[in-house]
Amino acid sequence: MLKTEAISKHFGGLEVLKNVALEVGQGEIVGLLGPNGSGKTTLLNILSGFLKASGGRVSYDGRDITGMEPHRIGRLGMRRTFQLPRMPARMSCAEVLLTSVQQPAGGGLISLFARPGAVHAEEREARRRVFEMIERLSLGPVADRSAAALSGGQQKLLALGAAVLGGARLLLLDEPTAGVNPALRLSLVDTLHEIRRQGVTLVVVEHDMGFIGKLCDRCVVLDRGTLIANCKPSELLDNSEVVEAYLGRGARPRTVALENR
Amino acid sequence: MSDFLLHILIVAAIYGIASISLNLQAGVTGLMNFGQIAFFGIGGYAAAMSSQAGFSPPMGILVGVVVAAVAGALVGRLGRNLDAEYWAIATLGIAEIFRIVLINEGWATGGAGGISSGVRLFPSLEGRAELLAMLALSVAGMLVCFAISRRLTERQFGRMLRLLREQPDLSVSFGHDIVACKVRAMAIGAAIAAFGGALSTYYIAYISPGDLLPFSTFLIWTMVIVGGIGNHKGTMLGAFVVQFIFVGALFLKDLLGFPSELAGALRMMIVGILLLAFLMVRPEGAIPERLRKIDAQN
Repeated sequence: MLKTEAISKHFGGLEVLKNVALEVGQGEIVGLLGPNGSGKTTLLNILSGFLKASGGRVSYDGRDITGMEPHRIGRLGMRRTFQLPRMPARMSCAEVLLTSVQQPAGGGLISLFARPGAVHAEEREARRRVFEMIERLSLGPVADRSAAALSGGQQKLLALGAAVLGGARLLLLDEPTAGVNPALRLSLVDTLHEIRRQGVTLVVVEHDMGFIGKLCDRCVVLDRGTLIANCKPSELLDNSEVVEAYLGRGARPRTVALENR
Repeated sequence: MSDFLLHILIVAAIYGIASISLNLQAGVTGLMNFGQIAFFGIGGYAAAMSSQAGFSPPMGILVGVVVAAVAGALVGRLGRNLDAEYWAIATLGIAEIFRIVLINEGWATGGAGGISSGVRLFPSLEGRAELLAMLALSVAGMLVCFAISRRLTERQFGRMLRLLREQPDLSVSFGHDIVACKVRAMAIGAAIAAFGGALSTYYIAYISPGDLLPFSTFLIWTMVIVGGIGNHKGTMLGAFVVQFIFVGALFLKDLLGFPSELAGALRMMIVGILLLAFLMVRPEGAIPERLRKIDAQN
């Protein structure tokens, strides 16, 4: 589904990613881990086209998308969310979801006037799907509120719902649980599994080990721009390189009890 | 006196068209266009030059609208390379370049003295009847532009523009081409402004570079901000209110005993104070943009 070859990125003299080779299969849920500053978000930005890599190639669904403009990558079904949700203040939650639904007739300047019937039918179908999603994410009470006025957790849900409605086949989630309360985190695991059952592949940047253990099939770990591990979540703490990356040299595997393991 | 009132209303309706066009760009799409008067001027000059060449008013309007749309698209395209703030400065510069070219290419434009259109829109009517017909035409034109703007903003196209205004990155992640959105918003806004400019030239029968000073752009901005940026109805209201205040300032001069040569400066000052007052006290304007409620049925 997704494959990178020797991705590297430097900002001036600072090497942020070195030779990253990553492969994600159709229907997998892969956790992308690493300490702060290890390059996780930079990698996500490169995959989704928001940043150009300094070297290497990205292929998605069997086609080379290296250097492709980000909105084109979005249209191909690779959708991303942002670490900090960025929601508009002057649009409602329901409107943001509607904007994410691909509407070729209603979004075109000429077809908007030339094909009113198609615009109308498209809009009705889009609204039906949006209200289904609102129901599914329990966003009903805030559907008409300003999207920026939603809580951090609700904004994360909104971004996720928008990505799914937009026809995501590969979802890149940047810290979906940051700012989300523990009860909602658990239901988020179920929601994401349900999304996967619909044929969506997921790559999830995350710090919460408990969440990763419940969610992911496989984890890859970045440390200072290099992939240092590729294993099952349960094997993470047996990997001395991973433990060292997080806790520093000298820390031994399994010496620290992490919550929720 | 009532002929004068008709005149003010006609000019206000034409400014209403210009306000609607700026609102599409600045209010809906968030494009800080400080050169809108240039697109108005393209329409005005196209009208005058095509009537000089013997074309009918509908043809003159069409030429202006098409040329302005192309120019607007090109200016919008600059948004690909320039950040929002630099783009805003560029629009001001482009409008001034356009005005200075008009002054200097006198063989085609009549230079600083301007150019007359030489045709009347209602040759069979005289006096008050002609004014009333012109008023009907300009108000109808404004309402058509209003209807077009509503259609543009109430469906997916408008949502794309509004998401671009506030969260361009989110819009890109949704798969929307934000450069194309900017280009389209600029093209259609420029076309509407040119329509207003053409009406103005046919009405006054004359246009000159003096009508295209940056002050005019700021007058339109004031109308949009006073009325309610992002709200089509508000911007039309703003055009009428500000136009009446702008004209009223002429009478204020007599009341305050200002010498006539200072009247122009007094008007500008009043517009400036009005703009500042609204920006400080009520930046959302008289009729603010409201959150749109989405019903399950459309």
